[in-house]
Amino acid sequence: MGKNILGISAFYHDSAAAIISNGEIIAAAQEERFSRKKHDPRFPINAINYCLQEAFIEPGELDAIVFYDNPLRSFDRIIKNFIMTGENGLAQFEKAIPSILGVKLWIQDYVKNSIGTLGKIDKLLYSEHHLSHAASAFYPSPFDNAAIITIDGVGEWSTSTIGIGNGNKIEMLKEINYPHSLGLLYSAITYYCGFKVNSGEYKLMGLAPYGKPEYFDLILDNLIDVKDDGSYMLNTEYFGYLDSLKMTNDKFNSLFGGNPRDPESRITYREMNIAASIQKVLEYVMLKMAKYVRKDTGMENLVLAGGVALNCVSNGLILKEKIFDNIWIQPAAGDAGGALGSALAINYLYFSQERKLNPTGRDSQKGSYLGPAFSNNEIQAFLDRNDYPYERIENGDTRFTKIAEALSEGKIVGYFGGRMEFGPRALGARSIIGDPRNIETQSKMNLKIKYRESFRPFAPSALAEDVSKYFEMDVESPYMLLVAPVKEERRLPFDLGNFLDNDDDMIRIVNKARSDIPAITHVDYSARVQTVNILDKPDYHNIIKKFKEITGYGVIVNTSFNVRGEPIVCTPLDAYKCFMRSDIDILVLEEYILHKTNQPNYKDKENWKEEYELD
Amino acid sequence: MAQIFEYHPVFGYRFIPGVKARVLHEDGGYLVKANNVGFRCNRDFNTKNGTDKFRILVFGDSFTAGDGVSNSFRFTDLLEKYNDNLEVYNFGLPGSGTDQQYLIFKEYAANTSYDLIIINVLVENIRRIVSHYRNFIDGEGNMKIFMKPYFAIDNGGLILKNVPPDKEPIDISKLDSEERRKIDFGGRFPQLRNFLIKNNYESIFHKLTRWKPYPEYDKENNDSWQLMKSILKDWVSFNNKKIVIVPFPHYYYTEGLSDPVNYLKRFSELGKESNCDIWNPLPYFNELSLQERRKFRFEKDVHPTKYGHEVFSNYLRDKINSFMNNIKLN
Ligand SMILES: [Fe+2]
Repeated sequence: MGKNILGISAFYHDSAAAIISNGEIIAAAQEERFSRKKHDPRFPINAINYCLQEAFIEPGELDAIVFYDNPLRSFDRIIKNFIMTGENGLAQFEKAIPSILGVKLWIQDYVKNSIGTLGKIDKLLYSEHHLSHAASAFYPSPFDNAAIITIDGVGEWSTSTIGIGNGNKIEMLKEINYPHSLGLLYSAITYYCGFKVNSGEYKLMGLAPYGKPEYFDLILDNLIDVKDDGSYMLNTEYFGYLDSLKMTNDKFNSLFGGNPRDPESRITYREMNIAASIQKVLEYVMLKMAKYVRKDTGMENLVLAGGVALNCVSNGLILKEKIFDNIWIQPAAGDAGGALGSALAINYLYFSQERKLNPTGRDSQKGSYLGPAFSNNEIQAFLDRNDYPYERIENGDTRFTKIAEALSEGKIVGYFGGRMEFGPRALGARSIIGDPRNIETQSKMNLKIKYRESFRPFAPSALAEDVSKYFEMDVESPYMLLVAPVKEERRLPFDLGNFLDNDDDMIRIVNKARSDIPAITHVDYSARVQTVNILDKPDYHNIIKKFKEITGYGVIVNTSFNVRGEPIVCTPLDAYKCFMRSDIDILVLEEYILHKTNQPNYKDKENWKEEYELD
Repeated sequence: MAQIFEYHPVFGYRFIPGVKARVLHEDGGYLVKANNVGFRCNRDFNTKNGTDKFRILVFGDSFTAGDGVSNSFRFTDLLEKYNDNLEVYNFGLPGSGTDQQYLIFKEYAANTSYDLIIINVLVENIRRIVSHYRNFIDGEGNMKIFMKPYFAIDNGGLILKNVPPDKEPIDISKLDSEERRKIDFGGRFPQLRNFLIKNNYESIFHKLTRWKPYPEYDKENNDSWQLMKSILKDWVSFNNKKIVIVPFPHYYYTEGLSDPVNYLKRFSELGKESNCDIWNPLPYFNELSLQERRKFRFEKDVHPTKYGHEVFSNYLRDKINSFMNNIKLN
């Protein structure tokens, strides 16, 4: 008998829930999308509610409910850390107690109280943090067997693990333990460069192409000792997270010659060079580790998860070096994906269910379109109830052509279609899209929609069948987890050369055309590519295809459907609000098209911008 | 919370056709699924004769639609579950009055073939039929007031008003004080009630005051009752042999907090006048202990629990069986 399993990840960062039935991923979603609080760490009551809705089952029909990590082991780490570092650890200990003792030990009660049951076995199961990551990487992958690398900040005691997946089994081979953590090193430098830990890592990666890796040796000589097999030790004397609430300490600061950058101050050459250096260190470790794992396991396939697996630059490099024949990366690589992984782990390792690969040879992640969808009936009910003017175009061909025409005229479109994405990236279900050829697309999207200037360009969505026409890439990247260079012949001469080390100048530079698709080309000619396959997302594929028929380009700009600091939109109401709060020209809600110029004045809260903490 | 209702030009609003949702609730949550025409029913309505099953159409408000429990745990679904020969269509609409339910009948059911119609009149509905507006909490938690269809009595006949109702919410400040009193905020003293429920004082309060929750039933010539009677008489006149009325008791009556004698008297008079059956489940409920009866409703929410639905469906099953036997005998 197939099993219904609910997986929950909560209380640390970006809570989520996932449900599987008979091995099939039925639904998965992050709590932030429902609560509208970015990276909401609270118990994911709304995400669980949604999962049960999608599966349309009663909680009593669940065979098991599983929590993504072992709270007792995390607690153990906190205690040992306290003992190791003595009194200075007290501040951190006290801060951790309410979240570990007060909350994590009461998880079972939380679950029982909030959904009324613990399922058929009447007890809450616990997975282990890195097993959850490993399971999220291996089981949905298209591989019958693969090497597994998980790597993140910290989960329980492990910070990196290596394992093997075979059929329905996962075997963990090696682990690197806290406080030695590549993820925390990256986060420490994220913090030092003035970005937010747990969300600014992506910015640091985007900053790297501006700098030179001048601190590469300094980092390797002082902060991290990397062995030939890719294992490593951190020199903990430099880090603050062991004995204080800060990521770095004075010793760290003097190594880089100064205090951390104030988040609101300008970005200087120093941060650019540090960003370039840590990126190079990360790649250095990842490549060593990947090579070692290939040799040690003999596996041809590699699967990756854990927050560090979101670093698409290093992923792209592993691919380019052809260390493995095939790579698959879990798109919800962070802890949210642990909800999915823990449910899969219980299905195969606890209930010993048979694992069936997707017969098409593709993965089983369903394009990561695992969140709620809204029917045309529901959208019309919403629009009619609020009396918002719209045009309904039932014919797909006509509708997609209309959207593509608008894009080609330089219009910015908020596109809402099908099931919402699971994981941090918008993949064409909740996306703001534009024309990549248009030099103004980038600054318009930045200034009038996201309300921030950025030194990072946007990401492209390209027809999977056409991707190698634009990028030096011959594999699919459906989850925007790989970076690839823009084709040589599309590049325009451009020299990063000398520029003033301030934000304005970086923005001037990033706004300069470097290719015939400027809005998505980074200063090093790289792009974070999403390939769109008609099998995964026919509606979105069709829009790009129509755009190609009009313009000759099978690629568009894709950024997440939200304003700065806001979680990606989930419902038609969220989408409408974001549409009215920004300069998006056209909103598409399934078959309904809304033009900004027709909309009545939107009565909004005056302080709506304060709703969202800046990222 | 996701929107699950949409505008309807005749009876005000309905479930969004085809909508699937799980509504968070004090007991966890419950699954809602609406059919092709926007009723919380697992089956699409078949208006033709088609089947050889005994077809029952049920009308009512949230107690019938099943607020608080999943579709499959409602009395209508339980009736089907335990008797393969029954086909039960649930036309319940949360928050509606008997007037809107009558409009639903005329719109969707008058031309449907049926063997029995059950009008489940929650006694509180007498208050809903006199209201002209009702409140609605939107997706952002704001209260909006919408027009509600209703009937007025004119020269002894019923006149339909507020149809089609405006799509947009109304501006209360533009209503005169008379009309303002016609807004249904739910219950008689909604704020007081919420306070009492929240603090578990309600039963004490009722005992101390010997509360009469619905004085509208006290006198035969009460305007509200006259209106209720006219609506039901009109409705029953479609087929008084196949339409039965169930005056469904609020918990004040099932838990012995108020005396039901007056509302029962009114409904029995109505039964005689219109020559239709009145099915009163109260004696059946009272066979259970007070402790058991308390379990009919949730801790805070007054809607029937799974158990409440189960007991009611047991009651109806016996009534329906004898109804079917009577048909065979005739
Ligand atoms: Fe993690």
